[in-house]
Amino acid sequence: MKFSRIVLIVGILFFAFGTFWQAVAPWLSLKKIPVKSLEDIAKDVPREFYMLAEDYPVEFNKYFGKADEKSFMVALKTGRDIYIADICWQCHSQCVRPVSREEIRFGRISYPSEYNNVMQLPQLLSTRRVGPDLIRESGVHSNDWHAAHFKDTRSVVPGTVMPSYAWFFDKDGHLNKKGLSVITYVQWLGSWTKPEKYVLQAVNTEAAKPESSESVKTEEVKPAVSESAKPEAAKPETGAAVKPEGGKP
Amino acid sequence: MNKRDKIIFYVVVFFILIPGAISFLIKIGSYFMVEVEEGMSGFALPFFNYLFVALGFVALFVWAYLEGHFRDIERPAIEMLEREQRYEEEFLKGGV
Amino acid sequence: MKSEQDSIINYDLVYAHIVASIVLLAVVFLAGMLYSLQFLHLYPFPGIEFLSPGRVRTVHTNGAVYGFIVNGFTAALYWALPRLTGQRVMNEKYLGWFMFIALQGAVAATAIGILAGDSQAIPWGETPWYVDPFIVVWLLLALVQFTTPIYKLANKEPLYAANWYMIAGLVWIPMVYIMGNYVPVFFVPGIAGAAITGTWIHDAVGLYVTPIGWGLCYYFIPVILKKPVWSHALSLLGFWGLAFFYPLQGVHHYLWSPIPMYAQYAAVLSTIVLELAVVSVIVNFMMTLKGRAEALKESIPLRWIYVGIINYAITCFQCAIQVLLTTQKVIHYTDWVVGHAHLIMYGTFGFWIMGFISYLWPKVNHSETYSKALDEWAFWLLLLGMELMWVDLLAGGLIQGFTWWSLSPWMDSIRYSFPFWIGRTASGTLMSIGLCFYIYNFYKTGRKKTVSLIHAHEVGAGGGVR
Repeated sequence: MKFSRIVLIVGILFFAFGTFWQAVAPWLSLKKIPVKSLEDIAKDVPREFYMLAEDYPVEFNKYFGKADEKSFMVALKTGRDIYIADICWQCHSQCVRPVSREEIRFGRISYPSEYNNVMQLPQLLSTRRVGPDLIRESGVHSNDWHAAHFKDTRSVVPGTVMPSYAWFFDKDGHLNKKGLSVITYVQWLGSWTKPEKYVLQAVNTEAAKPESSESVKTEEVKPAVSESAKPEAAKPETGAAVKPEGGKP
Repeated sequence: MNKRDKIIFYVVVFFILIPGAISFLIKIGSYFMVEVEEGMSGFALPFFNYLFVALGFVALFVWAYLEGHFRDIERPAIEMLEREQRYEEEFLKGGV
Repeated sequence: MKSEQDSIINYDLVYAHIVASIVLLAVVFLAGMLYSLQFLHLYPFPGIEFLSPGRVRTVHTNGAVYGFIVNGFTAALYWALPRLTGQRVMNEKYLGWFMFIALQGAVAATAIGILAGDSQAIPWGETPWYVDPFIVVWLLLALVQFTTPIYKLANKEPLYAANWYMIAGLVWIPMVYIMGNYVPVFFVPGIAGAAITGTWIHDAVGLYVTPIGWGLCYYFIPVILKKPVWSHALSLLGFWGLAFFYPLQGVHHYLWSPIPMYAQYAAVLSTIVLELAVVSVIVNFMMTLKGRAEALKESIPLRWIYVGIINYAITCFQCAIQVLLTTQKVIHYTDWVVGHAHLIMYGTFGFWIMGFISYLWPKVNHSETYSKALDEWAFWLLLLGMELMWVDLLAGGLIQGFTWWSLSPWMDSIRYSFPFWIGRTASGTLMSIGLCFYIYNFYKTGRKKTVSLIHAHEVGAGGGVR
């Protein structure tokens, strides 16, 4: 057999192995990255969800029953699916960059571990912003604002180019399951970084690991720390939210 | 190689290829360092995948070289046109 | 009378794919125009779930790739490959027609799936999950179908650059498609998924559309000019440069995101290095044209192709600038990127396909172009519209980026973009008119029957092989 033939076969084998790797590697890598399941997420139900149940008791009761972890999981999953189905992600990003003063406009700079959950499967970082970023949207507007905005965007935000979503409402103009779910999803985005939660996590972390501020190495990986000129924006990250998730055994 | 070609050759090698190769190796090195420390192994997927695909291309390149594909490197371009001309004449003659 | 020719090219398949390509191009234009109207508060179907602007936009982008470009390339491959290699493709009668029907079915299912809300949140991978396996199978069949003649030739003589490009594109795309449409959707969430998605977005363009497009140009340009490429060695250099540098740069779609910085730096670096390969290819084509530029006056297909090449040079030069992290601070997330995408997908690859079709369509019909004047109008309107749209979106993108940076209220960026969105719709209208001329001419050419084939598509005088 000619040597050149052997090289050709080896080359084709490398192609084949490259393709094979695509199927095998995810399982290998998944072992190392802790991925939050829907149940893990539902351990922290944002207060906006309970407020939603109070704001729209009849509709909420009809579609979800009681406001608890279980109904939150259903609503969040449905909301995420509608966010994808209605292609919200092509006009709204979910990533606060450490540049262009985005930490002032939107809030805390995005960090890797907050994306490691099933709601980011597929990831929704997006590459275009016609409307504002949504990853820190939780609590920025009230549930009522969202309901009114979905119903008629231009009456709430004059001049906006976002379409109204009539199919989030039933015939009588009340929110239906889709509308409630989408509001749940949008109000969940970034709820893990909101102040009250942050204080709580910081306290827990400090109690559990007093030396944690020293051992944070994830910084190196993040553009947030490597570039950001805003120490006050970068600081909370080091102590609080990265470590409890990344440092889980 | 005349003198001009030589100068171009050395400029390309020293200012583009060698810095490019060094920075690439450094990046791969830092990749492995972070990989080992942080376990961001999601990146292993595209990285190794393309490593293998690139190796496949290296092998393909070597194969083409050994098969003599680059011996008379301008010949295929002319052969292709000759073939095309043959077909085009047939096409124009034999059209409906 | 049957010539040897008839036995290696299946004209009906070329014909069918060309028609599908043009019809889907019209659909893509329509969807794009509809979506642009949303930005002017003029969307004609408000409150209809199935025609929600976001979904229409997705039909626009997916239709452009899977409908227009894949069909156009397939048509050109069915013509160019047998002539390049002197061999038939693997099987036309069953496999060829099955692939044709399967592709149109997949495109239709994708469009319906997206409108019904079954899309996946992967840019250019929005194809619903139930269509993905069929597309993978289709791509594998295409690999078998089109690499067969190249393989047969490779055993006999050295390969021409076009064949290298085609092999690469056909081998890459099934792998890349599987990676982009399955891994981030079902296995890898979050940031790692984003890196893979970026790789897929870029590879769909860079590892299928680019190599196949270049490969076809390496066939059509020498054939139309009747002159070999300037330097076959340089074309091979461009190919191996593409093969080694292209696959590493996907992350540059998510710069400044939480993806590790080393990956971002590597992507930026390899994007700039790739410029070498691009320049080598462009220089090669421009030098091929040297001394024969008169042919651009005569031959509209050639003009489409060369304008596409110039647009490609512009886009790639722009790409090397916009990939820098400094530039990204302003232009990421803005209309700049949209302008860039339009210039590369339509201004380059779209124009090439229109060129290939203008060349092939009279040939498969055994007729001449119906009206040269209409062709000229179509060319200039589409070109003008395209370049206007590009400049318009670039400028709009800069305004948006700086408005965000200045911390003005969000609605300011919308208000300031308004004139540019009007400009986009206007230039889109110009392009649509151009396309109408093109399609009318296309239709008439298809109906016209002539016998004077000798004069059809002769370029200039005194061609001949060097």
